[in-house]
Amino acid sequence: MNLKQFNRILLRALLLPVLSLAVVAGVLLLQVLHARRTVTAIQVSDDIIAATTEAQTLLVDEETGLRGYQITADPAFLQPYEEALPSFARLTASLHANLMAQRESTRTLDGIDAGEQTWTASYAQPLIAQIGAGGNANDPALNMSGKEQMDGLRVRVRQLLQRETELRVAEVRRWHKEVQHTVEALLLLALLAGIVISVTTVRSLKRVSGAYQKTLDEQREAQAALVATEKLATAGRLAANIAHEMHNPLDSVVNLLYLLRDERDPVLANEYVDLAQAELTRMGEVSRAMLGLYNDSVLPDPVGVSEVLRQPTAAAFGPPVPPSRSPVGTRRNA
Amino acid sequence: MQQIGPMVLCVDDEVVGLQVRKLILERSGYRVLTAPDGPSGLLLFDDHPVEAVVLDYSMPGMNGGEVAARMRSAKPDVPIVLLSAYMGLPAEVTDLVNIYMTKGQGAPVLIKNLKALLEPAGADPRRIC
Repeated sequence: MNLKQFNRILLRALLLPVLSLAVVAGVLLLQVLHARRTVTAIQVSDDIIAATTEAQTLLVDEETGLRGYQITADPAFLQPYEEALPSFARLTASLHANLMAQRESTRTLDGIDAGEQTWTASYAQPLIAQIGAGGNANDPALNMSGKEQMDGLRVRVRQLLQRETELRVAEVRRWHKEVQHTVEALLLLALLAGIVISVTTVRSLKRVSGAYQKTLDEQREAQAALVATEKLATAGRLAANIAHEMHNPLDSVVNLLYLLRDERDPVLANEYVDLAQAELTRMGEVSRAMLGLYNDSVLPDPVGVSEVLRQPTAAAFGPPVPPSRSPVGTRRNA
Repeated sequence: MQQIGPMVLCVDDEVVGLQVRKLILERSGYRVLTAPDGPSGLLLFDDHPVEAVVLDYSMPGMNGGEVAARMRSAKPDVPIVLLSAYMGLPAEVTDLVNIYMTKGQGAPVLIKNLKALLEPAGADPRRIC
């Protein structure tokens, strides 16, 4: 494995978890954005529900104020009615906008708005005018008409409230489901990412480990080859040195023999022989020194013969010899 | 008449080998100087009219190759015979000398090589003066 391959493995090991986390973060971000939309929708639903509830209250105030004036003919009792009228108009406008924002139908609200205006125009205002002019405040037909209109308004308001509440519940339920799906998706993603990262990392580690092991093996082999070569070289040098040590005295002996052949003087001849003898002895010493390096277990080592004869197997070799006359012999090691 | 042979310088750390070589060369009519190592051999080489050198290669301290190189720079015309118990000396050493021979080839070969280096073809090393 070269450096480039190793760097590629490192880069992959770094990028894989980062990319996995980026994907998970992306999924989370999408969920958060969607959740924000859902929460906003739920909040608008809450506003619609609150406004619808307030519309109910305002209708009650209008009717209560009117009834109080109808009973007492005192304009002070009209205050709730008069305060509720503009508030109701503003409220329905705001409700209209919220419903449009939620892309919901405004038909029910339009019906409520129109119904309230009709009640005001066809019942409340005429009644107020009649009472103010000192007329009869208890016209049954008018009262009944007013009651029916108000009942109709209340039904429509309740319908709007109920519908919006149901929509809100559905929205919350949907949000819960989305959260659950997101959690499941994230868990699955995390598991997959974990498995992919683990498998990839294990494979990469195995590759690196294999390459490292191969390098180690190659190094060991190279080392062993080097040691073997060095041993051979050492053996060669030793052999050359031994040959050199033998060759010098051998050369002298050869030259001395050359001199001896034509030498007539016995004194000189003896000197040459002594010199040759000395050189041959030197060669013998070198040879013995070299042999001494080799530890051979089958080489004989000296023991006393009487000692051997005292052993049980001695009977196989004949009668014992008196110690004073026993020579030192040799016994082969097994 | 006095016989004066060429002066040969023998350099070798082997005492017996040097002594025997001296005897052989003197019997063949050469005048022989001996030195047991490179530095003393170089001193003799500088101080005497040496006409040939028989030089051992393997010596402690300064080996025969270094001695031959110094001799060549001092007196390049003096022939050098390099002796060695080793075989296969490097070319940068054998190129410095006139003849390279291994020990054990024998006295006749040494004498023949010296004769070839010192004398014109057929002449006797024992000069008459």
